[in-house]
Amino acid sequence: MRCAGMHMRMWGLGAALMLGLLTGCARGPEDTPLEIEIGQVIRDQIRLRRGKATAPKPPVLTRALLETIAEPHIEVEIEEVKLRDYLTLQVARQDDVPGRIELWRSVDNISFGFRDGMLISTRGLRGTLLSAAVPADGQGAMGPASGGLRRYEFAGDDNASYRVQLACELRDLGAEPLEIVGLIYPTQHLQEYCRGAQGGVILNDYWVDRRDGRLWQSRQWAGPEVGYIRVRQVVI
Amino acid sequence: MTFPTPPLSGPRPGLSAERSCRTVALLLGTFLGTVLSGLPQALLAEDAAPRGFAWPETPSLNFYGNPGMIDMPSAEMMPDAQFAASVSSFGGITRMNLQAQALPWVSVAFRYTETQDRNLFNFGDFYDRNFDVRFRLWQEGRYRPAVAVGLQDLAGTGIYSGEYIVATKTFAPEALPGQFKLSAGLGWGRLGSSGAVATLGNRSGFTSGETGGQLGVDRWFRGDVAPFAGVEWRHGRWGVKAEYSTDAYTQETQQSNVFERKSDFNFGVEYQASRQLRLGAYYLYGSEFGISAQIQMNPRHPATKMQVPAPSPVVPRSTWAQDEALWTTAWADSDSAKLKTRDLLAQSLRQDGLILESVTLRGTMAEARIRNTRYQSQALAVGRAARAMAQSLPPSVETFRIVPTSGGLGLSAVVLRRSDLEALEFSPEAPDAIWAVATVQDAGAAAEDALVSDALYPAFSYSFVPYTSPSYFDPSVPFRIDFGVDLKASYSPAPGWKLAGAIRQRIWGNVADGRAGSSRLPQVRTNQREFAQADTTLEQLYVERRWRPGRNLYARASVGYFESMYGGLSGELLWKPVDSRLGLGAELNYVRQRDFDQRLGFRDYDVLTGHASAYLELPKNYLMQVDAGRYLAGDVGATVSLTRTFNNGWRLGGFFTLTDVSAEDFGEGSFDKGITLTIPMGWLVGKPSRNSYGLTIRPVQRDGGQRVSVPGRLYGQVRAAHRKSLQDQRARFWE
Repeated sequence: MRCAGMHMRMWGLGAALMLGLLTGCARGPEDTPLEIEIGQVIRDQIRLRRGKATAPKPPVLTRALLETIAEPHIEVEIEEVKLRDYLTLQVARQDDVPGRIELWRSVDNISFGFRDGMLISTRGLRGTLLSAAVPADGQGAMGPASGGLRRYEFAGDDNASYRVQLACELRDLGAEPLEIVGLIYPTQHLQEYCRGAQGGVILNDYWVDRRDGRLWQSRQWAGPEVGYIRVRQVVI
Repeated sequence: MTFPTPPLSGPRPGLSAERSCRTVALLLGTFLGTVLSGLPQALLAEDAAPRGFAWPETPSLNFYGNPGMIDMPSAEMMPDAQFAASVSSFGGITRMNLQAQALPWVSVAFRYTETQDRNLFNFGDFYDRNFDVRFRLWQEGRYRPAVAVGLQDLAGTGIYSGEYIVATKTFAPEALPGQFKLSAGLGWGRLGSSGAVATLGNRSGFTSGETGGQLGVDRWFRGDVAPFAGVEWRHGRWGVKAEYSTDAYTQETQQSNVFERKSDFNFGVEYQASRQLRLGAYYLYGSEFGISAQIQMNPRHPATKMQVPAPSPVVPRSTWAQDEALWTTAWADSDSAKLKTRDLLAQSLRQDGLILESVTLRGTMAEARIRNTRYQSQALAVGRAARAMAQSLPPSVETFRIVPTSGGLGLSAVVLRRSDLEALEFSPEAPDAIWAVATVQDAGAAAEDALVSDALYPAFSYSFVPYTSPSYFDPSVPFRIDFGVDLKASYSPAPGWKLAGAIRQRIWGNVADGRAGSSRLPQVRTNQREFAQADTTLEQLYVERRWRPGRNLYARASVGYFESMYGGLSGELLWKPVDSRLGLGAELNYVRQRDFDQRLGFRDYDVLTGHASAYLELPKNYLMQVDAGRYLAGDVGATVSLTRTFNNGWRLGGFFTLTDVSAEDFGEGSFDKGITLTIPMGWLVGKPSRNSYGLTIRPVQRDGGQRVSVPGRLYGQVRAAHRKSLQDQRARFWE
């Protein structure tokens, strides 16, 4: 009987502590107390589980829908987790390295940076791609200009980074008509076949317009954590 | 349209209420939620893509938490920095083990054991604390086995004391699946108590009534020697173990009746449930079933990978300020333009969770002093501040001086050129590139004409949160805990000034029922039970002033009720140049012991206590600290602590204090010692956080070598923003 009483009391205390975590509060410009952060994590988890069923699904694209959108958009899909979203162009610029830089951003603060269409940064995802050296020649045509050494730097280790070096071979897989939501583009299918210095193989695929060198679609490796992403230019 | 946050390293851990307490149980509990979520990368099928910075191969652990078979050790080492928590139980003997790989060739362990019905020293169930250390002599080669030497329970009562030298060789025969590990060694002490083949000298035993705590040097590698051996077969997630044990369990089977030992052989099966968690079931000594659970973590491999919202990009001025008129410095002569700029900058910083303390604006230079309440990494905070400055300052400002602050104190100044930020954001190896052109300087005091953020001061903060307060190793109830709620508040009228207080209301607890302490010294810490009697207490109430008395110098003065047991006056001075690995400090306190009810009154015990401290950052992120001075009981001596600190906030360390108090006067344990462990919240949940779970375990709490706990000690905060720390974390600058 005593044990059962104790047991009940422990449950009661556990519930009280849980309630305390969920109802604790803090205001002001000091560090948030640990208990408040734990409460936030619990609340986020509850919201995440509840929200899963009602999460908005990405829209089904039609050419008619795309024609109503004026701003440039790309579609990015993370293959491994089958997550898809539409990103807007935040910055387009040049720096001292050849190739045009574009930074595309989602509404919930995930961004992807490209140099001549080749992925050079990810932010807001786990396993951040901090920087990358890519074979852009800046001569107008997007996609890889040559094979050779590829270097990626990812966030990792103890608040530091680690590097992945790859030796790449550029393959021309020939002309391919590419369909993106009802429109067909004449493209050249290029492929980078890359071997890691410590083993492993990755393949980056690019579909480049044969007329003006625009990159319409690609499938690129974004690192050991994220895996492959698929990118399509849906509105230019 | 939203882009749901992908759970790229498995679902995030679900936290439960019990995990809010800062205890070992909490850490294990929190981790269980996490470890069950990830698959062992090493066990996944051969992946086509490069694995990058992957989880290392890990050895399985034995019942003592050391790499090994079941009761016997192997010569394997865990990966560097690995931290393992394990629990094992058989025949009424339960061992809770913490093991840390201090260096690639050295590991250390702390253990808490319970032996049911042991009836030793008049305790029915017997609880004991042990320390171990093991060294690898050489690594495994193609034909050569790895060899290690270990000392188990190397000090004190030595109930589990045993030494060994062991060799391990791995085989992967092509004809058979999986991998075999064969181990064989020689054991002394406990590990030489059955099947001895020789005797080397005399092994003295522990004398009842001694204070313990001393190294058992006169026992090590003495007495009977016995050869032991074992084999482990691992295939995928499964492992099978068999061993020949040389532990006779004389104390448990002959001197008392804990279990019956019928055989020398032990067998077991283990299963790798997740990357970190391994479970095992065993049959031991021909009579007993046993179980074990092992959790291995590595500070370098977060439980959940960090995810930080994307920053705003640096947009080069050439794209938005093409008109030459925009580049003049005329704005700097207008107070209203400067105030407007300050507010713009504050707003921009706020988007990244940073608070602007003050800003100094000149035509071509700006210094922003920032308070970082979100990111554990100061390098990340500096990177975000640089982006905010690039976004909001007029084009003529070319030099950025970013000063991270703590309590109004400038910790360091990172100086950057805006053109470098614009040029390097997307360059290959951008973190190294920006660091190569950044300089770190002494912050100094804020300029006379600095514009203090009037949205910030006077600053008032409060929080209302639950708390837990554990107490360990009472012989009758090894773990006691109190819990309730804390109401904390602080008021800061200007940079560097702070008035802070905390009121605690206990809701439930059993610390007050603990064992009453006794001591030959003034009772400065062993009267914990008396201090635990009141339900409503004033935990803290103090005024603090921090300032920079000169170059490389930091100062603090505090007055009030510092902690539950002491209040008084405290002053501290720290010398720490931004680019030096050495820091020197001095602290002087006059404190009185507070009344047991922890209201405003004091007891009749006061003491002048203080220390001179030296802090040295060693390779592999080891931090050595020596504090010499006078302690709370009036004893004079020094504390040496060695802590492996990680940039992400993990800390694992040990300390000991030797003072002029004799072992007899000190009591059980002979001198003060313990281990500290800190696990950062961000490492567990993968979100930016400055909080962490901290834990200090002393095998015995006595009165010698005790220090007052003054809030706001300087070194930790100062070091986090100095050159070494920033440079080590430069990869986070652009994150």
